[in-house]
Amino acid sequence: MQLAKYMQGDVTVIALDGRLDSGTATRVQQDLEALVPEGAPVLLDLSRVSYMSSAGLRVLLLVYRQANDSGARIALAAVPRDAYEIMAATGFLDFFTVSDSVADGVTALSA
Amino acid sequence: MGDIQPWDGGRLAGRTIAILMEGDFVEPEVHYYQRRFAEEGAHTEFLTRLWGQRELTFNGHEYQQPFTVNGDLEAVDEERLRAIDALIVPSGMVSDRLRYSEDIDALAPATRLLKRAFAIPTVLKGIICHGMWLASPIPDVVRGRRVTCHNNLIGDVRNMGAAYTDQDIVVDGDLVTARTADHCHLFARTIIDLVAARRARRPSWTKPPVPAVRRIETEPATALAPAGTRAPATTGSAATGAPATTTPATANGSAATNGSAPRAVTALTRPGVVVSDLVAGYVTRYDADSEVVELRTSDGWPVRTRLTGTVSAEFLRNLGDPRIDASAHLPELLTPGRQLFVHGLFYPDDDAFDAKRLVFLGRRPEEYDFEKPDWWVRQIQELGRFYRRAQFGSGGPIDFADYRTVLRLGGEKADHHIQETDTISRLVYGMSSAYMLTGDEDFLDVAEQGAKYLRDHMRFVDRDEDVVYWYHGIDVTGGGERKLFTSEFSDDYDAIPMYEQIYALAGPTQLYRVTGDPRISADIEGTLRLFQRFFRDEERGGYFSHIDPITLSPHHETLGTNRSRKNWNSVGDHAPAYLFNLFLATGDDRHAAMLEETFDLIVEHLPGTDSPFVQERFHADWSPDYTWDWQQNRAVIGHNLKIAWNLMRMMAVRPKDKYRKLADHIGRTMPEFGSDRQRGGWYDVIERTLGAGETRHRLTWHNRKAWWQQEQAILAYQILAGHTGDQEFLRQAREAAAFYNAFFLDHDEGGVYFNVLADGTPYLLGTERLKGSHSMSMCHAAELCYLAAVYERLLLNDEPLTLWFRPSPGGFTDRVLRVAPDALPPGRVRLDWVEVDGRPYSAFDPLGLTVKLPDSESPLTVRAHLAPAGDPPATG
Repeated sequence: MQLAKYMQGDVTVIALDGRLDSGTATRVQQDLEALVPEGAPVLLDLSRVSYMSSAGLRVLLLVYRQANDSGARIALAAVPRDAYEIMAATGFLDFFTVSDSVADGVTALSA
Repeated sequence: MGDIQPWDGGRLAGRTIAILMEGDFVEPEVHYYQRRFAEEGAHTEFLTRLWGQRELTFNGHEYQQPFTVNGDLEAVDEERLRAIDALIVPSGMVSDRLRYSEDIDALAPATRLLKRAFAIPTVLKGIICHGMWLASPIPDVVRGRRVTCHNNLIGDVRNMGAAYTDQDIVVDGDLVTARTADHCHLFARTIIDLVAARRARRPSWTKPPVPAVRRIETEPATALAPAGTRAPATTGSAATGAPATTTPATANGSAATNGSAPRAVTALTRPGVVVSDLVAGYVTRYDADSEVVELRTSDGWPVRTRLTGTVSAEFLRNLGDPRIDASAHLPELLTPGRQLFVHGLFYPDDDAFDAKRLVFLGRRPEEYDFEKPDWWVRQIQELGRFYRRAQFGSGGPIDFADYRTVLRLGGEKADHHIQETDTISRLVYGMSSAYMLTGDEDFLDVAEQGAKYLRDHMRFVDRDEDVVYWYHGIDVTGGGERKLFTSEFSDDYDAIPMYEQIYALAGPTQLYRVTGDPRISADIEGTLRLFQRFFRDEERGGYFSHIDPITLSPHHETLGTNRSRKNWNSVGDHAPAYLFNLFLATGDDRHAAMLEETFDLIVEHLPGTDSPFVQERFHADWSPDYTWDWQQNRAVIGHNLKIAWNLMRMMAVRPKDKYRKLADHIGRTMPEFGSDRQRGGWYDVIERTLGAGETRHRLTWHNRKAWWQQEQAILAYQILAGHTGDQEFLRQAREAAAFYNAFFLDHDEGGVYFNVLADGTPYLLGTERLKGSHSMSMCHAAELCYLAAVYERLLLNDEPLTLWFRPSPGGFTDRVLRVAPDALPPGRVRLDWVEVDGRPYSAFDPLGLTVKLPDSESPLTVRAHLAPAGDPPATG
């Protein structure tokens, strides 16, 4: 799993690339903790996530809380279909802002 | 100024003392620290907010002496903070300058650093003189803790909720405070002693800031448990052996006083003081002419009591009952053998106790109103109504979106929008139990909607692992829904604690007994798989107390002091919280086997030879953990009683002599150590072993009495008496029930009080005013009503009991409804008759206590009439 961070205007975009499962979750969580800015909007680009397990969902939950605690808005972009279905079934989608593309996500967070 | 090198041979060699700095510091104080800590070998570093500069030079308060600082407090990351042994907030105006924040909604960087330091018990916090100013935006860190400060700040620290203590130096766990800069030598000396005494560090995980909502009456903890590690209460030499130096120190100097506290003396020997108190006793003699009543307390202490002209008397009353005056009947009531409570005054010049208020427990001697058949049923009905009204209004629709964990004393909701999973689960438990005793469908409606809400909002179905776990709760501020995935309680922050998962099952399981809803059963089984696969210690048995939220491992380093640990809750609390009830509903051998393993582990590992109380905290290999947070080497009295109670329940499932023996042993030894035998009631947290020169175990926080621990005593002694017929156990059961019913029922607002003072007066401060929060939420109070009704009627008083059930259409495997009211000795209860939807029904097993349900498209209403069977035990 590779992580890349770049700015789109005021929005920090973090792109995840690879499998997010129990093998990678701990490291991804640590990396995200360091990359998620305090108090500024952040967009997680999941378009290149090939697989997401429940451990991956738990990582998203912790990142979500970290962002919330620092007052940052957080959104997900381009959630892979499989992951989307799991997230819908487990009630995740109710509390994340989800957009189809990075551009839409940036627009939503900049609004 | 040249560098002052630490002395390599000092006892603090390798240790780091960090001191916050700003302008208007007190020169002699700071210079003293520089030299004194170096003399002991410690490295001293000065930190300030550098405002983007490489260094800043400040001037001192008295002589404007310059002092250059290049340590950046904003650059202190977690690793560096953990490496600091003591963080000092010095005197003068330093703290005031450092608490400046340009953003009025944000904490100043130095305050943030201090807050982070408070989350790490291994970092000693030293705050002297006016230093407490820096903590004023984060009062949670000192709330309930003993501190001292400059006399000018006494009002401030009291407003922060700290316990101001009139001493020059105060040590409270990992917090050392001192009165003024003129005490900097004593302050430094105390810090040196404590840093030196602290053991080689274990890897410590830094907790994020303690959230605003703190755990309220955790069963394992108490409301105001300071978060410190073990340290001497005060360092005697520093605190009291010092001369009272009285030179003003910094701003507005005012004289310090000598801090030696008065010697503690017992109430009755305190010279010249009128003491108000409570006596619980049995009448031995009444002389109408002299108006003197002689009483004997539970432990045999005689009390000569005088009825004053202003004495009032009343009978015990249940929730919902009016006060009934007894003043006119005193001569008839004050007959030998009768138990009563007397509030009154002890005067120093009189050996008699001046009675002011009497509470009688029944109309006749040895009559106890709480043993009347409908007492507990009416009580649970009133509790159910209180929580129904408080959460959803009276009579209207039930919408759990309106549910709040924090309820104020009268049931009003506070401006607080958290819904904790475990408090909803506890409400579901209480409402299900209320339905079983009363058949009131409104209670069942609350329970079913609560269970559905838990399923829809609090549940995480982990499809990869095929397990279920439960969120800590959700925050519904502003109509949104923010999931709180891991625990928000400071004990367990950022972990998944077993305790919360166990209690998430309490309500749904009790409801499952009533409805057999297969969706509930699936979630219970999924959660049990979580326990077996991730919490369980396959090698040494038992369950770990916490797992990491990402890896689901109990051994992950982020768990800090909760890493690879077991405790009473994680090992034993399964049984009372849900496992007995699950077994009663299913009759499944797997559940009986899990119970058996639980009690085998309890008997093997919890009793210690070093104390009358069980050991509650363990490492993975079952060696005792005496270091954990607030628990140290302390006992929760109610846990001991809970163990006795549940061992006796286990005697009805898979009896073993060792279970009975341990329960009996606890039952016989506990009153002396854990109860208040002259006032009644049971205490809270206590030191497991005696200190030097002590003959009584010390109470850790206070001598208050918590509602749930009274419950444990009542149930433990009722079931012990029910099994054995032992009159001493029966007496303990009655005394505990008398105290609870006399002092915990809130006749003004409804519900029960959280804590009362030793004399039974409600304690209504801080979080202990609340009625909905953690473990208050209709859990223990309702459990008491339900089980006291079962034990009193069926085991003790030879009376029948009718229970209500409401099986759902697809409910219960093979359509078998199990109606056993609790794990009672086989053969003691039989099922006399059954009604289904109001009609007599015959397909039931009177000795197996099961009903073969008819097929139905809609829920059925089942009434099961249970009656005592067989011979009552011989009295002994």
